[in-house]
Amino acid sequence: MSVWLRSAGLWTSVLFVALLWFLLELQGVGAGEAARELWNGAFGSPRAWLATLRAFSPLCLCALSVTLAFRAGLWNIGAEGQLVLGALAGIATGLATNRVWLALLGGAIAGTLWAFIPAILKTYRGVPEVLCTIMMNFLALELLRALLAGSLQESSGQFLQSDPLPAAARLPEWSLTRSGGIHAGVLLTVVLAPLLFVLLWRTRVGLLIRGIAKSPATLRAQGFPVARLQVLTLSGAGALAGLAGAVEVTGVSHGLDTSIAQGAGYAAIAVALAARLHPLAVVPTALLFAGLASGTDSLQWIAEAPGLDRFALVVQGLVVLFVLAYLSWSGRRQRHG
Amino acid sequence: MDEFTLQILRLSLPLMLAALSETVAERSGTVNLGLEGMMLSGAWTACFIAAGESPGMLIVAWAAASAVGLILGLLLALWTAWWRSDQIVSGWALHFLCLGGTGLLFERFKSSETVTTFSELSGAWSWVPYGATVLFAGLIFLWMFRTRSGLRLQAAGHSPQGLRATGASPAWARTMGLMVAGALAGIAGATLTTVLTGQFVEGMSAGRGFLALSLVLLARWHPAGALVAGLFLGTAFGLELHLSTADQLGDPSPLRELLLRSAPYLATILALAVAGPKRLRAPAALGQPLPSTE
Repeated sequence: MSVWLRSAGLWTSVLFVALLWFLLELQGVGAGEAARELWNGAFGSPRAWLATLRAFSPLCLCALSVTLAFRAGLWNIGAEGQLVLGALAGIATGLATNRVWLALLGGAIAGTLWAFIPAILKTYRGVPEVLCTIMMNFLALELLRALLAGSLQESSGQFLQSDPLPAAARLPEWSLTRSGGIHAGVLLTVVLAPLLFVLLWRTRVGLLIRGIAKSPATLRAQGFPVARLQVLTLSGAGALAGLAGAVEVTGVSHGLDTSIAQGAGYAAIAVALAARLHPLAVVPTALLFAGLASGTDSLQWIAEAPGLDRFALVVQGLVVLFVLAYLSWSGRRQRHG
Repeated sequence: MDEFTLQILRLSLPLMLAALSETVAERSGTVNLGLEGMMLSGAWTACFIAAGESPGMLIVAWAAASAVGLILGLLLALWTAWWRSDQIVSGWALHFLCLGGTGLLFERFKSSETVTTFSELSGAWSWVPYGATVLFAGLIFLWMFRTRSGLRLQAAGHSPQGLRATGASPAWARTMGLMVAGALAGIAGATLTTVLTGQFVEGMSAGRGFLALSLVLLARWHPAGALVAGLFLGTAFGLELHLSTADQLGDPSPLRELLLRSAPYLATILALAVAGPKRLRAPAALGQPLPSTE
């Protein structure tokens, strides 16, 4: 019992639930009822699972991207922008070539290039990648708006959206309910997570990447190409986030509008940290967060509380702060023995 | 003064104050990525207090905004200075907390009431925000470079171990830095609602906090530089606004619109790339957690 009382993890969880309860009450939604609806909307029915899985694969891919970059000590806040670029390239190549694999490839390449710019600026000009990737997010949003009003606009030219993708440029689906099914992007995501794990923990390059975070100076002194590795890692992270955007357009939305930038790239940071930057833990964590998103979505409809999507933002912030506090406290206890 | 110049000054104001705030935080060794969120919180608070009230309430609104910012700074200090969490990640989380929090509060206490802004007031009143900003910059300069506690603050950013060796606490110095930075960030946010728009809009800071983070590098961590850098970016914002309002009469091409709207961000990236922060002398322990006391 006393072990439990002293457990920082327990106290953070209690505090966390208490804060959530307070927030829900502030919104004028009864907490018990809200929790039930949240669960039903996230995992309670095949339809709910479908909504959760739709949110899952872009979120998980972005979280893998964040994991890769953070593991190298590169603060890539730019997953959101890289995702938008991936979606833009995905829809453009999809519409032009009618092939889904080309659309995915195009998305990954666009994400890579978008991350390449801050990577180069960091290694050769010393521009902090945190700042640069944040700016690149804003630029990506402007680019999205301009292209949707310009060359990518639908043929009638009325709305800020692209033409829908032809069937050949969509990801295959396994139908689950009458309204839709699980797209192949989910499978792709689940396969990529263990691959990233193998890359980071079972290869030489992975060892070097993780070494950069610990001590770049040591590696540089031993003659390893640190700058090149940093560029490679950040670009790889961009490829994953770009792929997330391409999966979103070819698997879920089948077209492109401004709703692509709904913050999956930002939420991914919370997911990656909550999973303590472990690729295999990212998968269930992303599923949980996707459930939270689709659950709050349906809760918004049922409880007629339209502000609830901000609730998800607050939860993301709180999760990260609590994970950090927990890590710090538990680390301290270990040192004290 | 003509309207265009005034517009530029108005747009520079939040950037200058935010850059000042970040100057203090970074001199003490903390990168405050929560700046944007702190600004949003200040903006909401100021709007909530001053909406529909007499102009005199504007001062109270500023005070309240700075108090909220100060508390948020204290919160961030708890994580970064005392629990030695990563600064980037904690600041980012705080930003999200504030972004979502102000959204929830705005939804809950939705008021269509607007604030009578400083710019709408006559005579000397309309110059109060600018006077205050210059005053703040001066005070911060005097504090950081001419007082014992200010030098301690800088020591916490340059060499926390050295500071500890003198018997002072680097954690306290960084906490103090974040409290002052938070208060200034709150006021920077307050200018958004009490000088620029007169109304709170969700996410209205539109990346100004993040831009200010870059401005500090260009300003070389100096209060006077913060004012100049703020003015530089304010001019970019002003030109964008000026040209795009002129555009609305015609039918601008998406490309032209794109270039205009991304001008402030592009200008910042370019300025950073040209300046090459590698050569700028940042506080030596900037971004690093404090060394363990054990």
